[in-house]
Amino acid sequence: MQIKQILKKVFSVFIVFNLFLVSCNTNNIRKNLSENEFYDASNNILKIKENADELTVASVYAVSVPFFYALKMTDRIKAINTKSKFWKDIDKNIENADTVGRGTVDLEKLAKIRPDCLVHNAYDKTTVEAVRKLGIDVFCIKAENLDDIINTLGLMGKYFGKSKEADYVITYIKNKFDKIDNIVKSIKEEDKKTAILMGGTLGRIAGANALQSFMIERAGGICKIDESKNSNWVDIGVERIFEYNPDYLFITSSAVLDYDREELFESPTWSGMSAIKNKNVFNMPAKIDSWDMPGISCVIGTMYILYKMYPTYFSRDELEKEIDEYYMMMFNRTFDKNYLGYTLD
Amino acid sequence: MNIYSIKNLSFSYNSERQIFKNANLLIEEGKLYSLLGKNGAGKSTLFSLLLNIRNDYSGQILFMDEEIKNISRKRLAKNIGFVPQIPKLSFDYTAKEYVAMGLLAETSLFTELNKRHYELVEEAFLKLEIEDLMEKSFFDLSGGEKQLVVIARSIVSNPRVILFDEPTAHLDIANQYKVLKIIKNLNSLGYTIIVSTHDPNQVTLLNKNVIILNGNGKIESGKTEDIINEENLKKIYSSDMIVENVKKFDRKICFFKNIS
Amino acid sequence: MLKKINIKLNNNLLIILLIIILFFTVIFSVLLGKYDISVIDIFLIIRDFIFKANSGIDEMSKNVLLGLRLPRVVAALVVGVSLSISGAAFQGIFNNPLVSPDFLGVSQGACIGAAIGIIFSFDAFFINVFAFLFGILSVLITVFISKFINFKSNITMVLAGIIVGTLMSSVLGFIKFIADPSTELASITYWTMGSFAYVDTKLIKVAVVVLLICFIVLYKISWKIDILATGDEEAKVLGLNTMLIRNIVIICSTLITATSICIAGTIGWVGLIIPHFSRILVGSSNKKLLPISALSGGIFMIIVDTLTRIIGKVEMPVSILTGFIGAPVFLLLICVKRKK
Repeated sequence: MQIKQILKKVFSVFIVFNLFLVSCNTNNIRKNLSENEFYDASNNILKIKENADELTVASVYAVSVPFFYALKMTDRIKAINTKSKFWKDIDKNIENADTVGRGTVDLEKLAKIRPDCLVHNAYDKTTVEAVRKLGIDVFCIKAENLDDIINTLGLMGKYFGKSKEADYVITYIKNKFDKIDNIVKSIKEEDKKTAILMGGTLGRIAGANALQSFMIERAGGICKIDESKNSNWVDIGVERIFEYNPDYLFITSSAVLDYDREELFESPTWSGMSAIKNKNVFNMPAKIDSWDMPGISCVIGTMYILYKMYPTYFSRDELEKEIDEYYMMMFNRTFDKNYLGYTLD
Repeated sequence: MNIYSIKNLSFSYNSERQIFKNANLLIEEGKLYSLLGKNGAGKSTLFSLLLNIRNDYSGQILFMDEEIKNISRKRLAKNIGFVPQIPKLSFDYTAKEYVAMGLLAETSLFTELNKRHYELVEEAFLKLEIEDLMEKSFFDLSGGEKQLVVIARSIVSNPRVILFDEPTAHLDIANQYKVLKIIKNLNSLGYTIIVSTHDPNQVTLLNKNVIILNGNGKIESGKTEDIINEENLKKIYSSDMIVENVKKFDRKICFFKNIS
Repeated sequence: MLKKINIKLNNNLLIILLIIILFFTVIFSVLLGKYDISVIDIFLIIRDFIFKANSGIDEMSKNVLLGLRLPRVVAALVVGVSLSISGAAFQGIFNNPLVSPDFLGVSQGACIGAAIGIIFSFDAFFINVFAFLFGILSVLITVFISKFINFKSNITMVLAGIIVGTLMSSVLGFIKFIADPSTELASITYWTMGSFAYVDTKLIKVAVVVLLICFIVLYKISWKIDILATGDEEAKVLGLNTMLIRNIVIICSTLITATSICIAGTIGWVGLIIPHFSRILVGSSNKKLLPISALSGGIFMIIVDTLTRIIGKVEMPVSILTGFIGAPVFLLLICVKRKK
């Protein structure tokens, strides 16, 4: 019985200690900033420098790559991680750039390359602290919803002396979404359909707060999901998807899939779903440049969804025009469907 | 003085197997005892009790007039040497290192053996005339050599009593004789010794005193020449053995009649 | 040739030799890296640091040498030493040469603590504290379970270790499942994976102190650990307080292993192979085995970490290399032993 008492004491001390630790976790308090300063996505303060338009940059964060393109600053990239051939094909700068890691940063390599700034995601505190200690600035970005995307463009524009380019892209985004809103306004309520975007594993969907669900809603679709998490994906299980039984199913192109569209059409289990019966299951474009990844491509991603769900309101010709316009804005050229790996059928 | 004084000892493993029931035994200093009984009669159990490995018995076991339960492990270790039937060693050490382990009781938690201790170790090897084995690795020794090294370990702390648990069970005849001779020599040097065996001929070879466990819960002891007879052997082994006195060698021999 | 090694080399000579090798290993490790720093600059930076001077060396070089490389080398040394002596001592008290430091579940427990800290967005400091506490808690649970099973055999601890280890893996799996895949999960995976890339210098100082104390304690009872090789019963008859010795070793080993995990995540193989290798060099006597394992472990870990830093375009995790080197070396050691 003595052992039990000791155990109880130890355990209660343990719990109290842990509660103490939880309460000790401090939150950041925002202070007033001067004109040249701003908060990045991880609440760290960055100062705009005199030589903003000469700052070189490195990144291991795949989401940042399209932003560099959009701001026409790929010549400033000293090191980048990208597995995709696409980025290397369209820009010699990326092809020639070195790498400092995939997702994690090789600190000494980074020191050797010595960019002025590392662009990184907002959650990896360890890396951010370590790189700062090394004496290199870190700019954390987020791109999970439209506000974040526009905000990131604006701040990156300011910080890297690319305000003109940033404004141009922001205007483009705002105009396009205005256009989409106008089209959606004209859709009759009874014509509105439900849709869900599925993730890389069966049973995984974009949650209520995810960018993809926002895209569906913005495109006039109804995306009534209860589940949501901080990040995009929620694993709700296939049965729950059946319960939702949406009219349209979109399959992500931003993650590696462990299933494919044909499997779903052939599967007896899925055959009862309305989306399957009506053949309304579509892969999000495109194989080598995802339109549902956090970033500017959500513009044409939304338009694609709009076209698929309401083709009478938004024609294929119009979509193709918009796609070309998007790629012109981003990369100064257009691409063949087969090259990008998508179909509008 | 009595090394061990056992009074009214009762012990059982469970309700069915009562090993000892109100048993008594005296182990007198300087004497040599053989412990005889068939397998399962309680020889190993008795040793566990005499070594204080088990203390779930009722009755009294005194070691040098002190209740054995109250004696510290270290003090017991200093005064009792033990030669197990099969020596265990998970990692390889030299014979010298192995024997040195017998002096553990001379150290405290954070102290180690000193030069004098290692001299005692060498003495133990010399006493048994196995100096040539000192630097050999224990794993490389033959069965007989291992047994001798284990005996060296049991005497290195100069104990009052040495317990041998069936020391010849795994040895060939030549080595069996060697070991028994050493046991007799040690006894003549003054060590009190208890040797367990299930071979009555070894008992008669050692020929001093014998302790008998015939499975009825009691312990009988006395001089070998008195106790070893056909009647007692029948009680132990439940079969007829013949005990013959070989006058030429002044020794009793026990054997079974022909198998019919 | 191997038989010659078996006739133990003069132990003191061996220790001096290993210390010399360690010294040169440290020097080379500090000299090598992707970022070029000349030898002269290295001397100057170190001199500046000790004497608080300023020779005008480039800030970045200073940061790399003092902030990245030196802490890494020290961390690798501490972790290599810790895991090796922990492994050697565990092998001794469990009479089992296949035992490694995370045998009682300290690694899995620490990973769970870290995962919980990451999910609740704690600072790095608190993540480490949690990891440490949960590592120890894990071992306590194992020990209590083995007492509960109460079967008088060494296998009890092995079974308890397996039970707790598997349970902990499941708990960790659950935490990973509820973690946010794009943020927390990556952090958890990276924390648990062995790496010396982000070393907390404060933590190293604590670890050095803990290591010194535990090493001295283990060294002082090293001979008692030898006696456990005769088995529980014989050891008790010889007068050994087996439970006390086991508990001391478990406490010391758990402390140093838990701090190692906090520094660098889980690193396998080191705690298993280095004691084996040392046993071939000097035999099983723990008085010699512990120091030799310590030195060999330190040297090994520094070499492996240096390799991860200089091989390939970008740094790879340490466990990959320890596995690649460790598994074949282990096979080799087993073959060598069988030949004897």
